Amino acid sequence: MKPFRTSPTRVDSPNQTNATWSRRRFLHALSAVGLGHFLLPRPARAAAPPKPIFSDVTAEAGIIWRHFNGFSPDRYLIETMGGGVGLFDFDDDGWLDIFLLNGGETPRGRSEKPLQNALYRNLGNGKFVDVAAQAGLNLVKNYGMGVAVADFDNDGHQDIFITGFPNCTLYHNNGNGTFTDITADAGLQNAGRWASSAAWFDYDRDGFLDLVVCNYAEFSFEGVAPKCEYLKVRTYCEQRAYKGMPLTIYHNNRNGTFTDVSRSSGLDQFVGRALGVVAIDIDDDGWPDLFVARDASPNLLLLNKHDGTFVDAGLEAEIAFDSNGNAKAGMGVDAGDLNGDGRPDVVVTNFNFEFHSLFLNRGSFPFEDWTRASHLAGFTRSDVGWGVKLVDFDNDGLLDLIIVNGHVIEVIEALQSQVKYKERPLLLHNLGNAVFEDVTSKAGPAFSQDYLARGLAIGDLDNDGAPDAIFTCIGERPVLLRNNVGQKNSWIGLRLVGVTSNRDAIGARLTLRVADRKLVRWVTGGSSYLSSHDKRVLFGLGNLPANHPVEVEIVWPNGEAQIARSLQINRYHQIVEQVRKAK
Amino acid sequence: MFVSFLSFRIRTLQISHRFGMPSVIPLLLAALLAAQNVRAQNLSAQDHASRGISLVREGKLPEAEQELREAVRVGAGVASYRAQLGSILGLQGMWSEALESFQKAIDLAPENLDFRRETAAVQWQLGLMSSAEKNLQYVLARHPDDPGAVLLLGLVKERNGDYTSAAELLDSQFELVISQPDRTVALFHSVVRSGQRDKITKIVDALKVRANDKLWASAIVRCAQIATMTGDLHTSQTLFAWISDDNPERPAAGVQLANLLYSRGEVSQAREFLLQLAQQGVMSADLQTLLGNCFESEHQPSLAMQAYQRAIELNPSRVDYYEAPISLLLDLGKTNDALALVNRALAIAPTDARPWLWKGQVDLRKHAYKEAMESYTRAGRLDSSKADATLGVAAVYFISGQNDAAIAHYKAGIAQFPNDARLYVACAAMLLASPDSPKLQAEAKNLLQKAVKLAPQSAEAHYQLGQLALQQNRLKDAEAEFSLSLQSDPHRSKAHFALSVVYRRMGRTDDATRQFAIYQDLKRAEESGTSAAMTAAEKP
Repeated sequence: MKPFRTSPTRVDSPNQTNATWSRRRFLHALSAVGLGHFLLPRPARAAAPPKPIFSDVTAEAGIIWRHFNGFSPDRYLIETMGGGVGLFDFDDDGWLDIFLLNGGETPRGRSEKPLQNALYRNLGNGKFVDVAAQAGLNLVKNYGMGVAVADFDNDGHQDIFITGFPNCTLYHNNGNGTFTDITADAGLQNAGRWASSAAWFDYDRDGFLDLVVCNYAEFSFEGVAPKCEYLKVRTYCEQRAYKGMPLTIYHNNRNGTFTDVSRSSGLDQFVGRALGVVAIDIDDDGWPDLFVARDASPNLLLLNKHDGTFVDAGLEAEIAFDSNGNAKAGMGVDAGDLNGDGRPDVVVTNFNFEFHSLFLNRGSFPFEDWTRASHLAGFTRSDVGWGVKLVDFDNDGLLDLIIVNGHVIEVIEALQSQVKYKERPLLLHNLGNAVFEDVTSKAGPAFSQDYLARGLAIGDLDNDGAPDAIFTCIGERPVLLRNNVGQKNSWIGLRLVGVTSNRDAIGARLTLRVADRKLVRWVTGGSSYLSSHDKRVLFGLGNLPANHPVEVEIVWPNGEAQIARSLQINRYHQIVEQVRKAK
Repeated sequence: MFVSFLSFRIRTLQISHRFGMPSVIPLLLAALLAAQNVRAQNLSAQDHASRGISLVREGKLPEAEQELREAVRVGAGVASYRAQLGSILGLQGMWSEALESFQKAIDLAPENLDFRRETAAVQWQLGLMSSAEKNLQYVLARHPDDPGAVLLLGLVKERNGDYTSAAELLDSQFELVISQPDRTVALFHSVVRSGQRDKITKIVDALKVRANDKLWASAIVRCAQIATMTGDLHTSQTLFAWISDDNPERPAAGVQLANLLYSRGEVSQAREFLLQLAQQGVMSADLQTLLGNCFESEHQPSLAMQAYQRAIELNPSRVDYYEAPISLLLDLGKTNDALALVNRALAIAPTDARPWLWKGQVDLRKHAYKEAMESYTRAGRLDSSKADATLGVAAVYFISGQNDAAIAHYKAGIAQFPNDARLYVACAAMLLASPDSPKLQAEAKNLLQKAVKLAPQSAEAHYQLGQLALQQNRLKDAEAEFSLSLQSDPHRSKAHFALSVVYRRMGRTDDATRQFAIYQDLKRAEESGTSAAMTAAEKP
């Protein structure tokens, strides 16, 4: 398999040009001057088979870390729920690195070796090396669940918030390749709770990222675990055997500490089994809202009231329950414009026979349940879905879907002939208007294997403009996927740097107009399941000629608009927030 | 014309149908009058006839019959002797012979209105309504105000189900009607069935006056039952109060009344009433079963189970009483207990399809799909007249994820049982639940409309029609359908939820909030049963 490309495409400001050559361009240039045939391998007479959309490069990348879930005869539900992953550039060298969060031991599920998290540093040549110990991130302090990465103190370095049971942990990035656990000082323990996904977002638009934490259920390793069986085989109980918990929201005090504002914000009233969260401006009022996917509890659409409080519009939006008043098993969630109308739509993964949900945002309530019309229902009928991302894998300008799946009941295949225990990931191609076709069969060998997949993160690990992916598996190695097709179309990538807005620009809205199309993207907080993603925004531009510059309108989290003009495509650009002088 | 002492005789005869035989004394009188006109050469026949009449007065009917037979033998051409013989035979319950005798009287004297009237009475007794009506119409054509004929025609109409005419005719002879219990019941029945509720009060008042008369006890019970069956709760309760404690028909009538209360949603009232009956010493398996239903509705499964167990103890060999406890045990997740009960039912009635249906339900709950399929298939072989086994097999397909097979099976079931609404509803629900449901809406709607024609009260059919309307944003139609669904079954959380969605879309926020609150309460109650199952060792 081919390694990742060696071109360290730099992220520069629009005024800088970058003459760095990718290996591919170099070879093509040689060919153009007639030298290539000496150096290039002689082409085979028969046409090479088309590359799969994604290649599994886990082994060649050097990723050997394995998740440990503490599998035990007691079947604690937490054993089957974890597996967070974060993609971020921890050392600011321009290459995305990979943080893999381990689960943990249970009373009767012990590890032979000390458990470790992994921080795989991207060497820029398709290889990764685990530097978690050097970075101070290797220790498994709790039963790990999710990862939320952001620059909470606006110092230019990505920090890591880890969720889990019975506590959470905040690691501050020291800027020198190391991290410091500042949880206690920061006040982010979320003590005694089983936390799942978390999302950084600036709910009060003060320029500093706040944090919302999903809490799943009342849980303890002490006492007797609920006992459930299928066909006389002990297995994990359904989620309803566990009582839900309220959300936690922390306000960033801008001094390295946080205040738990769950009560004053009103979020503590929403008791349920929360698993996934995405922060995005749903109603286009310039303030970030929250969509919370909950497991056998009604989903939440928490609209920001601009005063530090939120109101749940789940019923009005008709996203809380299915049509029969049942709360589906919402696990993962993502939001983005699927039908090109400039409004964020939402996808939620659910349990088998529930269908993963797709809600189209029509600009007013209710949202339209587009699950069946999109064909998502048919594709996901037998799946238990977890991580989900809206990603334009082929850069045709339309957001596609990657979903990773895996059941929880070991004997499910004996009960349901059409449901599997380990399940395949899905790659769904957007045909336009949020109608999808299943291209999993072309997605690559990784998509024809079965996994107990959970977390899913998206990011451009080789900086070639084609979004790559990584997903985690219960008790197994993760799967790292290199995108082979996105580079064939034009694209443009933007890294936003906030100045008065939060530095990561979480909450920014970007609009690119080209020809008769308008592409809208957001820098979201959270999304997928337990995972954190590349914050750079990629626009797929299809067959737009390479010399066609584009302009992008950016509405920063603080509400100010800025236009970046004459941007060259097929490269990344760094856009720094313009600060308007006070009058 | 009709005298009461003959009704005493009538009760000694084993009459299977509800109403008594009109008196034949007038018949005898008519026959006597006819006999006096006979010529002297038939004097010995006349003697026999006279002696026969005297014997009737003495209550010696067999001897009277012999005398009249002799009169007929000697005076074969005398119609009145035939009529008198017919009367005496009728008094003895020998209706067919009586009719034969009366027919011959009419043959001899076709214009005799009395003979016609009495013949009609016997024909009514024998269930020959058409013939009875012909004779009565003959009489009324010549004598429109003939009270006996009017009354009898009313009874005929009542028996024929022409309740409107019956009520009119009987009401016109009200004083005659209320002089006899059976006629009063006939009038009450006709009035209730023809919806002439304004006439009920005077009948009830007449019954009230006679409430302490033992001769009227059965009539009061029957009127109470009619009121119950037709859903007139107030009248039913009024009449029931007049049924004495020692009336052997009181328990059954009481349970019927309790059932009406229960079906009206007056669960606590029904429960109290049943407990009172039980405390009064009524030992009835039906009572205990209904009491169990009440406790279940009030989310008291332990008390419900105790009541169901008592029903079984009272009548352990009757399979019907096993159904409710098995269903409750399954709801509680006590699958093994349910199976034990199913096995008891199977031991009692191995060739009854119902225990096999219940076994299928238990097998499904235990995820033993192969066994479930076998159980339902066996039930279908034992009773191919009903769709229950078909529904069960389709459910196995559905629960095991084989939707296409489930739909195919429902469709085959519809072809086999075209009048069973449940199949249409289940098939439509499957189509609407499938991933391709937008393309299948027209077919689903067609099925549901057929279901509603077959079963207008089907809560699920109206619910699914409501969902279709909601998906198409036909809010008024959706509101109407969900409301109809709730009329049939007000305890379905999903219908309240759906109605809240409709109201919210309409902007009727208060109504939406109210319906959503009801939904939440019902859902909590439903899930408390489910969570009880969740904590059991077995998985639901």
